Amino acid sequence: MLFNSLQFAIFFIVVVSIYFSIPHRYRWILLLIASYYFYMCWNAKYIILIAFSTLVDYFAGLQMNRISEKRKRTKYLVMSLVTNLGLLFTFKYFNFFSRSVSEFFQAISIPVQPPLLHVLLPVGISFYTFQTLSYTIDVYRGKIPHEKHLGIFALYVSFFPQLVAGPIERASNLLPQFYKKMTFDDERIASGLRLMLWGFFKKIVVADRLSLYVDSVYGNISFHSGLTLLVATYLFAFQIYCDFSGYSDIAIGAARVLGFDLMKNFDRPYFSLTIPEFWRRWHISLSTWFKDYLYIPLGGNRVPVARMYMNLAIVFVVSGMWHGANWTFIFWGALHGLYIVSSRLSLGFRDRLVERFRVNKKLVTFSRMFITFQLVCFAWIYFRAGSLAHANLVVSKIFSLHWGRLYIPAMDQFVYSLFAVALLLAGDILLERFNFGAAILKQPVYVRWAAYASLAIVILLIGVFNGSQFIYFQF
Amino acid sequence: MAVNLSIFNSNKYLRFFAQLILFSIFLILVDHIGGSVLKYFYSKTLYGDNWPKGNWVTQKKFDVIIFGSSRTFRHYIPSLIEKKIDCTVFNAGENGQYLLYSYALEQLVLHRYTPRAIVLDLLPSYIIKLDNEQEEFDRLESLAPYLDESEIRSLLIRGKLLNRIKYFSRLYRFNSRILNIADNIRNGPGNFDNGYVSIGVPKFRPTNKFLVDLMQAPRVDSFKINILKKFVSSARDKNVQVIMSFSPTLEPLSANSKKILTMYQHLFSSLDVPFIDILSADHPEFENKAFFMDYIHMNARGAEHFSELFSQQLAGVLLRQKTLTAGLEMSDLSIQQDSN
Repeated sequence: MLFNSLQFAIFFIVVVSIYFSIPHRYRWILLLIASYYFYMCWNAKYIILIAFSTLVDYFAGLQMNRISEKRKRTKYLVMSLVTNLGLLFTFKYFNFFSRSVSEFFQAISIPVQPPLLHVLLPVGISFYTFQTLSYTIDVYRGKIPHEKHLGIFALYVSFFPQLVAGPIERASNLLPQFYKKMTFDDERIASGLRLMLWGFFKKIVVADRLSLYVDSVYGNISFHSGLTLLVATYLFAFQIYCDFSGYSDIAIGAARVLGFDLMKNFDRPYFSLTIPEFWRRWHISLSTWFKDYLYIPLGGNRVPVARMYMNLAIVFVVSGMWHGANWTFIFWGALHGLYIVSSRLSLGFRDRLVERFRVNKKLVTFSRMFITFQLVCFAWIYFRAGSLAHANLVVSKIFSLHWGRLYIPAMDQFVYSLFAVALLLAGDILLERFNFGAAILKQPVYVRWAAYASLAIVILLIGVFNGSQFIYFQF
Repeated sequence: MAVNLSIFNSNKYLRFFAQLILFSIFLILVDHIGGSVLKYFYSKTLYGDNWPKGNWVTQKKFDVIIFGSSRTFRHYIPSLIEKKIDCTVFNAGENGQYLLYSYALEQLVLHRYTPRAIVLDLLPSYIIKLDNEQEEFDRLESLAPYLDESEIRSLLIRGKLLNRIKYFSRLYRFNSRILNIADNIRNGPGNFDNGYVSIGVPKFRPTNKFLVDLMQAPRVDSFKINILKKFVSSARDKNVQVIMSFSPTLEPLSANSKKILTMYQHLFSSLDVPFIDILSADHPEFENKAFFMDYIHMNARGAEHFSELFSQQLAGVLLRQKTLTAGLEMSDLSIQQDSN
């Protein structure tokens, strides 16, 4: 069931209505049934994987709670890690690994027939695996108490608003909220609905509209000119931002309607002045997950500088792998690792340069934002292309400077795309610079209603309603 | 399990729902007013890059209407055909559309007036079960502005609640059409020839095959066969002459296409529907790239030559029909005279 479908609208209205009509003690049952149903709409069989992960981690938490000595608790942590990462590896990475090994042997003239699994990738497996792993690691570290209630724990793993594409929640934030009695709060519900509306705008008007152009260009890279590929890459930057942050907004908004606070996942990342800042604004729940559960255990900043840079590079390569079983994602992650390391290494030099030449502050801000955006877009080429060869072809065509003609299959569609991006930028600038979200609430009711109705009209008139998947579902 | 009704009594709850209902009413009003304004302007659009053929067939009257896909749109030149048959002709072919679209347009026409004849240019894929069955229905959304017409409504809604909810919005019916409306009003007739727009003679591109040629074992869709039969019967019910046609392709037909074409021939022979098949007739000149823009679409030069040939055959079919009708009327007359 997709957020951008009428089925979800009906499902959500039914769940919310029942939720506020039943006593608090029964609500977790409703949410658990709703969450399992929500997931089973994609593939009923794969709910077994979620249930299995839930049972293993619940049991691991229970056992770790009984043992006070950290060393003895380790085997239960290992059990949880092996089970969850094993499932993730089997379903997501096995075929990639098998093919890569076979390609390696073929390259040295040893023909190998790779064993392949004919299984579908379970939707959102990377998200719920990381969420449930954060629980066992935190229990192991003694940061949080284990969860006694199996039903509540199952709900933590499968909570439908963020089940398939995050935000990847922490047990310390989400679990206690399931015990809190949520009262009917009209302002909170209105705020959740507003966020959902903005999320729908991002997904339906911007992301799905841009995908029409981007898919047609990236689907036939060799036929297109450098200029077309450049434009498609910029549009993809906005497509993926709106696709994923739109999903996050709908998820956070839907949870807010039910009374839950999920963590912020995006903070207008294209306004970042540096790559490290970009990663503090993009997919925040994943970045912080990697910081807490990979970067810090590797030594974080408390190690020699060279080792710290190595740790950063490792984190970004793993982050790339998390996104997909393809060398393109690994390269994309490595590229960002390189950006981060270069950014840190050159920070002092860049600051001295600005000071020495007394460059206008606004110009510096704009240049930094512009350069950061260009670097991010360059990396998106590897994220979007189907293979490294395709990505390299895109890069070579763009940098050949023989740009050729811009491919415009239908002028009206192209204009809608540009209009959608312009609206998004206007909205994001208003939110970033003028705190538009708070400002609109101070306006009289007719102004607010006119603003909401306008957004709804834009969605109805130029949205793309083909019920397309969210890109991040595949991760 | 006791239902907690206490919240229903709270003022907060009532206030929220009162506001929600008021906002919904406001939104519906805006939607309906906006939708009506757009409908008015849409009905005024006749020209432009994305001119709606529905407006032509519902607002004007033609003696002969040719329905079909992008091949129809590119192959039949009404002004040339008109010269031969001395009737007004409209090309209602549309890019990216199949049988359902032609059927829907035909219903719009027959509901309003009775043309002398209708032609359907066939595609092998018309009666095939597509991999994505929903796709053909999704393409019919281009007829959403005519949703108030019962014939279109039943095809688009198909008894589904979700479709009913979707099309409740009047603005949604004009989704992605705002620029078309502005553009179409701004544009004049240009090189518009009763539905045909010349593409000129662009460089040949070795692309495009029939959908059935990309399938291993195409399966016939009984639903679409029924639609095809309805296309014929609803016209006949109004005494409209129905003619089927198959326009040329650059390369000889594949085994899949041939099989379906034979199926068409049997079907129309059993229904006694004339079938103009220029391809299988002796016209080797069409095996020439100079007439085509890709494997299955002719360029303006090919269209001119084809329209000449087609109009001769169409004139013959119409004449036979006229003679037959006149013969029947004469025999009716003589029977009446005998009985007198």
